[in-house]
Amino acid sequence: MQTATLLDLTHLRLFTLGDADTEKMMLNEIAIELKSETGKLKDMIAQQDWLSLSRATHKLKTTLPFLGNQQLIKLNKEIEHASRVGSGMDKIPAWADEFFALLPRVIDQVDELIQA
Amino acid sequence: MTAQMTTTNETDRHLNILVIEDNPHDARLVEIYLQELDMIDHGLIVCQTMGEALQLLSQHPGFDAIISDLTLPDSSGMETVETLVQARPDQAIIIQTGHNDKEIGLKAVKAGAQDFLVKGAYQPEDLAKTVRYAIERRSILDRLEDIQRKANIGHFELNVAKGLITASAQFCRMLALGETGNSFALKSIFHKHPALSNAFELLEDTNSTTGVERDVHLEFAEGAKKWFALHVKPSKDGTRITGLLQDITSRRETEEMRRQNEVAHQAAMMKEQFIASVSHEMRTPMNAILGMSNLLLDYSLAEEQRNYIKSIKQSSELLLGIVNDILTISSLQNSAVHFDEKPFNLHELFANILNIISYKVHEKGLSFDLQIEEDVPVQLLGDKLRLNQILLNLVGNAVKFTDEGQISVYVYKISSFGNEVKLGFEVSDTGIGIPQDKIDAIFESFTRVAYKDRLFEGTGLGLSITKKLIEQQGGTIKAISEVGKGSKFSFGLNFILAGEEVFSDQNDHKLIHFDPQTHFKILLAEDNKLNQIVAIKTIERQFPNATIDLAIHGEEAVKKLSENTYHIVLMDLQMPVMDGTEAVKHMRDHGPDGHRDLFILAMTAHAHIGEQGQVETILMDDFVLKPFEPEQLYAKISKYVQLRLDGNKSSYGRK
Repeated sequence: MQTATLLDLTHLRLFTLGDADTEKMMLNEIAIELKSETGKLKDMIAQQDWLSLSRATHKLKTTLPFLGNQQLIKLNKEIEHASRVGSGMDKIPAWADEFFALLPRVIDQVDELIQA
Repeated sequence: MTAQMTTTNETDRHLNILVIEDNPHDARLVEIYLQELDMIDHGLIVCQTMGEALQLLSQHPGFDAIISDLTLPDSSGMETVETLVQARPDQAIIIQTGHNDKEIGLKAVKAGAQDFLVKGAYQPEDLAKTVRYAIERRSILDRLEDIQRKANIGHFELNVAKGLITASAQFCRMLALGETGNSFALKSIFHKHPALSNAFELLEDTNSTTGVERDVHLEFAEGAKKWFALHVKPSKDGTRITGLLQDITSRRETEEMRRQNEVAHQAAMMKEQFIASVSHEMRTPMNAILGMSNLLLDYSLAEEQRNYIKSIKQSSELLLGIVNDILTISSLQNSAVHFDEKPFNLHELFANILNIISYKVHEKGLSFDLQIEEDVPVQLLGDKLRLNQILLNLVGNAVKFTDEGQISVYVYKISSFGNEVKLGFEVSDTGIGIPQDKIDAIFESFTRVAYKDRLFEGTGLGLSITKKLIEQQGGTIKAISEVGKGSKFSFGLNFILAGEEVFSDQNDHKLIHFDPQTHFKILLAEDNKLNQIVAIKTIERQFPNATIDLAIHGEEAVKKLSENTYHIVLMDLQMPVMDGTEAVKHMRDHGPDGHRDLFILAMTAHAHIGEQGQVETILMDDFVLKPFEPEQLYAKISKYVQLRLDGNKSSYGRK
């Protein structure tokens, strides 16, 4: 059965203009960044290190639009805003659960594109 | 002919009645009965023989009723009925029979008469009723005939035992059996139309009591063929079969055309999908060829080798353009293109277009004139990328087909209502022009213009894409042209007015003319590898002569600035070692004259950077909000490098 795509590379392709090599290079960087940030983000939430969490999610605000997964973008934005301004923080665990459930599936599809 | 006429004026409708009767007493009786009736205003003509009657009928415009004796000197029995029906099938015929001829009276009705009267057995009221009913039945039959004619439907009834068909006039007309409804031997019809017999055979085979329907294809004189829908149904006792026949030739032809269109459409779709798939697959190897060509060009090559590689690169770029065009048109044809509704600045959009085409315009020695009416709103919501694509295509064509003279772009407001505005765009040139008979064809796919045996390069898809992009946004495009004098393309598109708040992350947008071929130097301070790639690739593509120095944190940026001269600095704010804000403060505090000649732009995902005074607070000149689109970066770099080249200085600390 074919899996529904979780990616929309429209924004990314504004920069690659169809250049497959550049596209793979960018996807590779994105995958590395996301894989490396996943563990850190989980630790920050576990340790309630809101300052670091706001900085890390802030960085992801630039990265995630390249993958075009609106749910991931929205969840990251919610977490970034809550951790930065200190309001609605009780919702962070639920957002994070959803974020970390979705993120590996998105990364898997990025990996598939890189290996294609 | 011995004919006499009397008239009365006692009823509301005047009836013309023909009496065919050789017995003067019987004729007189009919006349007396009719005169006695207050209800019938009539004109009466009496003929004594069938010959007289036929002669009169051939000249007379028509009677409301014909009352005829069955036995005449020159005609008798059913022959009388058939002769009259044959002569005037459109008129109400009433047969008078003797006491012993009741059976024949019934037969007469079956053969086409409307009613019959038994001589000596009816009263004036009976006569009046019969005449009225006969006329009414005839009128109903006329209307039925009219409906059948218009609907191309005929009916018939088959006497199974005798093999005789009695049919409506339309049935006869459709099967070319003659103009009148009549009785025919079934075999004679089958002989003329053998295909009809199959439908009847099918009825026998199935023993159907509900009837059988089937379409039959019949051949007529001179090879003409028609389709009919035949519905036949047996009576309960099996002695009769009734049926309907409808000419469905038009419907079948329409269905056939629709089927053929569907097949053609499916074939075209498959062809397009195939082309799109092949095109898509071609992009990867094409990019490889382009990439390898670029790599080879970095090597030290002999002049001849370099030229070969350049040719490969140029051809690959052209081919990639074709492939991309094919994919775009395929998406447009499948309505798979999504149109954005995002804020954009019209001046910024034109600044980008000018940047892209200015090199070619100057290279060809053309002049370029852009006029935007003052009442045209600058901040809009719409699909900027598609508008850019449309304008670039039209302006690009104008440049391509113009060897001398001017390219003009004119933007004006067509109408506005509420927060919606319709803008008009005109792109004119003084180029080769288009012949009148080719104007419509230029918007078709793969149409290319030849001029004086010179075929211009391109896929012939550009204008087709442009037209579809405009039409799928609800607009229209028109072209007027004169060979040797030039062309003008105009189109209108709707936009939504964008409030100031949606541009809170943008600074003022001045229309800057900047040549993207300009040599200049950028310092890019960015720690994130992905963002480095994005920024460098984007800048390199648009500004081929830009030199980019990369610093991976603020401290390195400060060091590089102390050792080099840059036209512009792009500074990420959140970096390790030293963040962007601190680095800029250091630059401004310790640089000669605070590096006032240097424009520094923040690159950040912090939306609040656009709030009043934020940029100035951190001693910078402007910002690029992440995630950005290539054109936003182009516009900012163009603006500030040009300001720097024009001798302007940073305004930090002065606001």
